[in-house]
Amino acid sequence: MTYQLSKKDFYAEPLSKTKAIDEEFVKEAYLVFACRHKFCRDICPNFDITRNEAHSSYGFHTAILAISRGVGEFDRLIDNFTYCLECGACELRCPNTSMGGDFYRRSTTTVDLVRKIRRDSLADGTEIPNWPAVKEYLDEHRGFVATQAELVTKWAEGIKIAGDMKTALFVDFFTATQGTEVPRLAAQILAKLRVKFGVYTTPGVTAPELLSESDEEWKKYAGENVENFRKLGVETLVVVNPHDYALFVREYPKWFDMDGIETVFITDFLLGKMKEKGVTPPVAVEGRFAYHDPCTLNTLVVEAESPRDLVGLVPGAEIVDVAPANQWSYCCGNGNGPYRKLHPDIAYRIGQKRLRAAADLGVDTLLVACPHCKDQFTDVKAKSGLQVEPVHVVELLAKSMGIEWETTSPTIG
Amino acid sequence: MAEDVIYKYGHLEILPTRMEEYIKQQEMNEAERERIVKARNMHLDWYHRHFAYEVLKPPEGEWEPKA
Amino acid sequence: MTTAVTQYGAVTDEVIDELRRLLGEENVLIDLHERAMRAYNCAPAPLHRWQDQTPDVVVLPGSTEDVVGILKLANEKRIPVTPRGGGSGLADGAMPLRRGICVDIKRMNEIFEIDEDNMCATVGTGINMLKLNEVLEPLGKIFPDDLAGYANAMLGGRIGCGGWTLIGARFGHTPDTVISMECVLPDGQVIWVGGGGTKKIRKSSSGYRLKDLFMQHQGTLCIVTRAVIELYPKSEVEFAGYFAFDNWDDAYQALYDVTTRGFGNLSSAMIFDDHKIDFLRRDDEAFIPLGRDVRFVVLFTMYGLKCEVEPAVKEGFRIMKKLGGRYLGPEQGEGDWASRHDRYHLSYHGRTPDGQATLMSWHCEDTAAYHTALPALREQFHEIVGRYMKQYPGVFDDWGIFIYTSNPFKGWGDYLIEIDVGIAELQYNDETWAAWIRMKREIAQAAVDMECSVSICHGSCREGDDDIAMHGEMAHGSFEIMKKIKRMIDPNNIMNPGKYCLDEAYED
Repeated sequence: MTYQLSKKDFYAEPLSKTKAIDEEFVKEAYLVFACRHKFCRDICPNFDITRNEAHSSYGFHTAILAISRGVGEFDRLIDNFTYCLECGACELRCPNTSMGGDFYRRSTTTVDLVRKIRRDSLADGTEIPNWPAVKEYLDEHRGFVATQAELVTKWAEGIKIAGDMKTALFVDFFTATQGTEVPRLAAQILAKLRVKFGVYTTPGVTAPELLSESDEEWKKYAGENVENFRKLGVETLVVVNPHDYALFVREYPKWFDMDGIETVFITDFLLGKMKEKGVTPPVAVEGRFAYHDPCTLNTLVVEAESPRDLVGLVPGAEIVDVAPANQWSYCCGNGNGPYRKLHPDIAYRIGQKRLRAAADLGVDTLLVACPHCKDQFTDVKAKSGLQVEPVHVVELLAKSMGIEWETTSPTIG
Repeated sequence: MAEDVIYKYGHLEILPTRMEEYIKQQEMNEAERERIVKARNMHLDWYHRHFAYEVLKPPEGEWEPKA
Repeated sequence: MTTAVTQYGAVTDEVIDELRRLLGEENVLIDLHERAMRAYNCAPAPLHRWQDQTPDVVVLPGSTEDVVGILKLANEKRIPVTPRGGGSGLADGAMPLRRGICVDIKRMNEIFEIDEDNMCATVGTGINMLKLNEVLEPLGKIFPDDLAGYANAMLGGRIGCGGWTLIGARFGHTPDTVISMECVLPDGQVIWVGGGGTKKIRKSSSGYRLKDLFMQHQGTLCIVTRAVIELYPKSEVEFAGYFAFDNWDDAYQALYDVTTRGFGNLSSAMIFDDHKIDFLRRDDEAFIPLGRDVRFVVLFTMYGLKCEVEPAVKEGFRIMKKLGGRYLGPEQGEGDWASRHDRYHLSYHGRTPDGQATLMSWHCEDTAAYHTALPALREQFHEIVGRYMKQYPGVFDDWGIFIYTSNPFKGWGDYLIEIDVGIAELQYNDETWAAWIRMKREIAQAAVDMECSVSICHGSCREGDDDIAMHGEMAHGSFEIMKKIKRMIDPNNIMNPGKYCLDEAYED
């Protein structure tokens, strides 16, 4: 995937309760308000549960416009801005983007807006309900930085890795501690394919949650990563967590020169290598599987093919598919930021709805391509009693490649 | 008012000089534009399947596909 | 605009507390921006006096019982109530002219029953059609209420304005596809109205046909909380054919010929006039390029069984080609037609007189006209808008005319003639707002002078339309009956007051 650049400089200027809103920002808010069709609202998985249109791209932008016209107060705004999953579906359904963004070179950037308002509100001294849970999570990750080199390779114990950093596996703290089966199995598949790679050991705090608190701190870690990639001679960066992948594709180009470094999502990389080596997985895995598109791939970077194509390689496996464009309105409920920590009850209901939709297709397995989706669905399954097991696409492929199917991840750290 | 437009990378684009005074273009690269076009086509294709199982082709001899 | 004669009660802390007790704290919204964003719907609005139309409180009921509680309280305290569905209407039906309580029905989106045997479903009126059809899809069924806001409008709003659909020539419009409705009257009484007295019977000769009384009431009589709706089998095939014409006369004749031929599967037919084509060339070329030789476009669509549609399409081609129509190809048909289900407005569509892209909102005047009135109305509408463009350069812009079929279940006779007007809404002030109202009045008057209707789908209840519609179009006794009905059902004038000139019902 090539890097997608979509940047608005006027977001840099902080908003506060004591300052007038800049005219450029007012026009930005008006662009979405003026559409009024609110396709952004009805595609939103959060709105699908709360049914409050203030929790939508239309609501966010209209609130900004209303404040600029004296019919709103900045310090009362933040509550609505916590109800965003940062999935980006609303951006794709905004006519200003989907029907003219390419023509006018200007698109709707709701995820950036939401993160900005959260940052500005925190900086302005506004309290965000449940934010301590987000802070605790970020602090835990900050605590990992001192020992990260050891931490992010612990999952690889017992697996022989060549250490050639031209192709580097990027494993973030969440995956290294709570989603280890994905890099473990991916590494074993790559070993079978005789692909040389190394593991990048200093990812820093990459969680997108950080962009809702401090973009400067996020940029510090990201900047160190780019510097290290250059020093290590990384040419291909293989990313196992799609939250990181979306950040590399969408956020890094805003701030850093990524020329010469190709970022590839793990399913794309595996698919490419399988094809290049002419390998067909030997073990049949009979079954009908539903597939859940993670928002980070399907909407934020619009990539839905490679996980499906990988499943297509597995003998006996059949996908009972829901088209990617249908799934723009689906979400596991975790979101691509702090949502699940801010609204655990609604997150659960969104996940329950999605899992039930899979059950309605008559399957007992929902394939995922994201460790956060798997984590959330595991939780939802346990709470709801819905008999649909979330399984990562890489796990399915590994089983078909004759590698032991590890469905649970040993917690590290 | 039919306007002159730019044709670039397979897509049409407004003359940048029309976006200088009142509303300005944002910093955007070709990959982002490709993403928008891809998503638009996905959405429009989906809409046809939503309303009917099949989109009928024009009667034979009424349309030659472009080379 | 008429003056309200009713003295309204205030939304006091006591009222808020009572609403919270009825609905739960999270379903009573009082923050200013929460209320402000429910002040408007889709049409260009007087942003310079936003506060005046901002409701005092927004409530999100989840059931009929919730609505009963809200209306009883409002009626007792004489507080204005404005129901709000998707907020996608273009006639300001959901604009709370007297502030008060905004009843946002979006939580009432339950599907109570899908009755495949009798081809109908019972749903809450906060449901969106696209979402409903996603549930119906595995059953091979569809609710064909297909408007330009298909992805975001809600059934309650569709009932409130008596909605029109793109494919109504084949499937009927909202008044036809809604079989019966549950209505909560201002005193809290709950009634069901249909063709007769039952929920699932479409055609009945029992009593008055009250369904039609509570259709397109714009929230002035009740809040509709549930409806039984028609289901259709999902179509095997669709076809959308776009044909270019060199001149108006041939395009107009082609529309007549294709709509009167007697096709059973004709779902819609349309004309894009030359102003519209020029407008589309500004930026819709971004995905459907139109050649410079295209001046008018005629479109026809067909849905249904392949064995029926296939030969009908061939006949459609014959009719178009006989009059010089040039087929524009499947790419045009598939791309443009798909986007009509959620006909978008790009806020960048506007241009200043020197050609700079500017931000404009959009309004379409939705006149209902018979066939022979179309040529004269087209000329008059362009003349009116052109005059205001000259007077207010950069504020108003002529975005062309669409003509659509609008007779339910048949293509002939009635048409929607829609002139789209771009408006620099951010620049509205008292003077330009007044000019806009004058322009609307002229357009509405031109329609009424030709014995046409001011509105086919949005509702003629907006400032600039309402008095022409009520005192002109409805002057032959209809408005007098409306006033009597309004005063009988809503004696305190709490239901969406200020709409349809119905304040006059309370003048002694």
